[in-house]
Amino acid sequence: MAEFTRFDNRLGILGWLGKGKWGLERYLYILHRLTGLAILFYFMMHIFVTSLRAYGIYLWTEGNFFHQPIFRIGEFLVFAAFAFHAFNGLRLVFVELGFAVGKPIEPIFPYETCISKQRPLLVVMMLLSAVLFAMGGYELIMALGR
Amino acid sequence: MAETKTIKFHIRRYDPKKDKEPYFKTYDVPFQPGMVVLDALHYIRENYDPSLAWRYSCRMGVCGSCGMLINGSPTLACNTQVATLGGTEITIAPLPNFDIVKDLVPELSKMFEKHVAVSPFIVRDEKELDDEKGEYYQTEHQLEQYLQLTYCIRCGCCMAACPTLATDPDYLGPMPLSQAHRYNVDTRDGGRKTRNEKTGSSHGAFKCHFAGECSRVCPKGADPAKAIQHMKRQLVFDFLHLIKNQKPCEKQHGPGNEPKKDVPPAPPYTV
Amino acid sequence: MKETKYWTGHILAGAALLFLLGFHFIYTHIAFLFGTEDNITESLSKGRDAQPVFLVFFIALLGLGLYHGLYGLKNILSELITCENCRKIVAIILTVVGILLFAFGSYSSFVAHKNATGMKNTVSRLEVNNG
Repeated sequence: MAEFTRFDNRLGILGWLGKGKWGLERYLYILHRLTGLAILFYFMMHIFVTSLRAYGIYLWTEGNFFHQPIFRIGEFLVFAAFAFHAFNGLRLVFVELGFAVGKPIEPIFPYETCISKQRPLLVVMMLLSAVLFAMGGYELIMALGR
Repeated sequence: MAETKTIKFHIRRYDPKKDKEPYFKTYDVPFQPGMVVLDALHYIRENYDPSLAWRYSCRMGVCGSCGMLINGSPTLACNTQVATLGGTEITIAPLPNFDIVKDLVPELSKMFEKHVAVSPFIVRDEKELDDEKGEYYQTEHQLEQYLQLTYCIRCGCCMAACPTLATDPDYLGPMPLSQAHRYNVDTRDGGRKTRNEKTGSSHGAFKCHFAGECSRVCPKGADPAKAIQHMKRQLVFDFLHLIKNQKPCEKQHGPGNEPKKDVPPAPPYTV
Repeated sequence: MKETKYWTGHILAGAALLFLLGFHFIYTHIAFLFGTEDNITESLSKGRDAQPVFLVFFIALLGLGLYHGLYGLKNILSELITCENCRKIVAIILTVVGILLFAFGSYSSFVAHKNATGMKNTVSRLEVNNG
């Protein structure tokens, strides 16, 4: 049999974004990854900086290098990432363990999928995330005002 | 007489013998009421280019051959009305995340290899087959557990929409995983633990992160994302020993159909 | 089934982190809820280090955070890398990084705890002597 070349049509990393044509859950999945990476990066730095206290170096406390407003704003961004990642993660725990996606049903057109079943949970979690975000913002304004 | 509306079809072409990369070619097709994308492809082949290749068979959304990327969304060409797409320009490309054989023909064999790898059949003691008077009974509730998944036509639209498969070709994907779950929840089946080895592996169900695209694009409403999430729960509960390993249901006999006693064993095979 | 074990750990660690990090943020940043001002001072930090319960808390946060984060990173990278051996190498590197950071972080917490309790004992001894 003759061998033909096949063209690799995998979308690659841009396929994660789906060229802007996909649903809300797709974007939450991307944002979950990005915020996770940001938090991990911060966490590793944080371990290093706070571990220095064993040698009497307190870089993050009042009057020290990392207590400057620019770092406080950076910390707020990490907090915002946490606010999203935590509540979206909680939604994912429920969804991925099959508790918020509904029961098996017979598909009757127009089809109802598990996406619409978990939407109320998504809305609640995003609202909680927004509340946490607002609290962090309030704290930042207070801290910068001091 | 009213002027016929013309639709521009931008079609992604690729001939492995001539082309290094796929390219888009545009064809004008006169619109007719009730026209589906598959009709337009036939029109192009008959009037412009007989070399245009795509795969189709039943023309009514049953065989799952004509899955393609229509206006950026994976769906069936026979099931998509041109009128509902709106506008005068339509872009058609082969399903992504599969290799292209030619033009709009994707190479589906890797998907079917993954499908076979999860044992998509009822696993149980074969001796029962000899008891031809017995029947497997299932309640409506037991049937409902897997009925939705039997509607899958293996068109590959879910695989094309999956973001994980966009970068990781080893991931099993929505179709094979949901079909594994279809048999896992069947009361006649006894192969869940064996399938768990495959579906709970590093290329299995845990690579699904619930972007939900597979369920959104499924033309038969089989909802693979839901099946995968239920499968994850089963995998975790199996790992934590929270589910008893139930034996598959046994054949039952109605009145007058009791299994025959003292039946002599079948003669040995002669071939 | 190995992946099932790791993933279950990832999910459980994530759920635990929600509460642990929530508590961490409350005592460091959201203190205004309780009428207190900025909690990021050296003396408050030393005060926390002196309590054994905070030592356990820091080490739990460190371990669970590193596991959850690095497993997530491994998941992302294993989807981007297509060669199986490279995936294994990445997993080994991330495990080693995790163990090193955990060892460094928990060692520092122990030392900080020791220093803080030592200081507290010295202060109380001085108080006794002066008293």
